[in-house]
Amino acid sequence: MALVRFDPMNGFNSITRKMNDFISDFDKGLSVEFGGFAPRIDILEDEKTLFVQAEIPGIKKEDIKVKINEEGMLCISGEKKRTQNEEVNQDNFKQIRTERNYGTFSRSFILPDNINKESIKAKFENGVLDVSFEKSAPEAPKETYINIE
Amino acid sequence: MTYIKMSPWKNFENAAKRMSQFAGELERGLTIESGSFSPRTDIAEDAEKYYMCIELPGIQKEDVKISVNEERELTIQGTKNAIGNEAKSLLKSERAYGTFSRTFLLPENLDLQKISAKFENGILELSMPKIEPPQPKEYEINID
Repeated sequence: MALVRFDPMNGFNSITRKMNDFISDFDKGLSVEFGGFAPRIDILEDEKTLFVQAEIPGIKKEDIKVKINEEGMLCISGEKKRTQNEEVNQDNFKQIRTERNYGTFSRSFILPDNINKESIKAKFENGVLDVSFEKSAPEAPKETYINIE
Repeated sequence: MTYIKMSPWKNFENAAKRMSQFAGELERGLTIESGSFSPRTDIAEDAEKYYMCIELPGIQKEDVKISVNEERELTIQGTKNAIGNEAKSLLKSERAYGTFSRTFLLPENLDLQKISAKFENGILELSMPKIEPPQPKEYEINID
């Protein structure tokens, strides 16, 4: 019979560690997604800037939301609606083939530490949303001394 | 023993009719595609026209070519390059790049000369007015 030390927190530790590894790996491109579809996203960088490019053709700029949430994650969300041009006659209208995706979308990404979140810029042209951040030096962990009374 | 009427044309007729029914229906039909990726396309119609919307985000108008031939094949082709991204390194890649080409067989009740196209916000929109399909001509043959 082997004696195993009883550690009530043991199970939780390994689960939390696994979840943290899973969520905090920005480079592997893990992201949280909700909604009807997921627009394709490329993430690129050069020396000074991080770029997040999302393909969302056929959507109006006002229907896209870009934000940084309370946890410091970049969230790109919105709704892609089926629009018709004005000349379409609604009587006898028939959709013959649908390959395009419509509906709500939401994709969130953990941002790496060397990013200045306030430098976020976003532009939307040719159906591509381009979000960019300037890089900054990562903050050195602060050391604080604790007084012993 | 049963008699079967011989028709030298019969087999060809059936096969050809089935192929053209199959290929010619825009909704279920085959499209011929080649290249690195296939842009998503929606097709709709109303009483007067057919409408096609093709998603081509991140492409310039000069990089797309639309053509239609006498066999009613409409081809949309071009190249999608990552403009401005050459000096950057890629951390995550989901977008498709490269060449694309899709060919659709257009129905008979469409006027090939009047197809119009416009390209905005990454969507190429084609507008194709309908016409009466040309009736097969009948010629009477005189017997001497």
